[in-house]
Amino acid sequence: MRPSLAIVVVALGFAGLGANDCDPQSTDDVSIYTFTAAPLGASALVQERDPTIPREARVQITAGVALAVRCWDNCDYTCVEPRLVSADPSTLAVRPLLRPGMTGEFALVAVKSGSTTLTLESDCATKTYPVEVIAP
Amino acid sequence: MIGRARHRSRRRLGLAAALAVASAACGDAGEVGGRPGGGTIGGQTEPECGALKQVCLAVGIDAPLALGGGMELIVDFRIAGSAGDSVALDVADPEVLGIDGTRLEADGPGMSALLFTDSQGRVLDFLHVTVATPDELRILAYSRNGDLLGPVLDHVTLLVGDEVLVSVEPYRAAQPLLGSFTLQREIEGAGVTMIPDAVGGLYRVIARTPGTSTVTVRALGLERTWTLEVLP
Repeated sequence: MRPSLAIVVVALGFAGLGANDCDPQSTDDVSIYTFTAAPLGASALVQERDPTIPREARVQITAGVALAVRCWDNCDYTCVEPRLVSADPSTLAVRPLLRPGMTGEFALVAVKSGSTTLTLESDCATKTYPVEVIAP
Repeated sequence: MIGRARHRSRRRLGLAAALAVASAACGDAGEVGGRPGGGTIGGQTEPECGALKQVCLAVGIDAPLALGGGMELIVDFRIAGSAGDSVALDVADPEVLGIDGTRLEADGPGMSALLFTDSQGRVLDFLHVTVATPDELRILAYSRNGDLLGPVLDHVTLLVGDEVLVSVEPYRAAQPLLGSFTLQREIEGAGVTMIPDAVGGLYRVIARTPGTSTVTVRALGLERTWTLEVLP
């Protein structure tokens, strides 16, 4: 192969990887990062998928608990205009959180026991978490 | 366990009926029990801040709220660089906590987050509050400058002219519970009189004439009697 053709092939290869993924070693991913805790005796678990264990993404939270969370993705780290939506706000409500200088933060509010799903979407990726709101 | 719950339920029904009669008889409805001064006396004086420390309550919440009681909230906005915005209150579980204006009502046993929001419903901060069912009313004595002295003895001896400053506070398993509530009181005998102090929740018990009197207080489905003997 001529040197000029090899350079073009390598450059196209990098360009192709860049179009699909910021990190060529992993797929695009978005996650919920919690930064408060449940009160004593209550649960507030946000679990991410880990295929090596294996473990699926899920949320388990005790009714009555509020939890502050932010979006994290492996494209921008701080998600750009993330959307976090509960399929059943009467079971688990999502409220925007207001802190100076911070974006992409939400309060999860567990209203009553039951099951629903939570979908997190950023410009990077989308993920749906099964949610279980458990009785105290 | 179920038997005990039924027994307690029957006792509460009985007390509720007695309470209605006493209320009609002595006309004391509307007086308050609970920590004096809305919790500013005899309790935690440090403010209670939310999980994000952006909004605090002026009065500390260092214990569960008593079921059936309520607490007047004084909200302290603490976002550095911002003057206080208008803060609205909301709750996670309306079966546990209720909001009536600026008053937090303990409506059911359990735990619920109390949310502090801005005018657009965005959450500024939150605080988890527990509601517990009281199992005892205690009569606590305070000094004139508001120091908690401790529970009064079941039988107290006074001299004519003596005065004791007391409050009536709910407990559960030796833990004091917070909140104010409607208190009924009744005095049998002419030896003492009991009048509300200028600070809500405090009562002045004054020995007037020699003799034995019994003070009965009722609140939150519970009752407590207190015997006072006045010597000449």
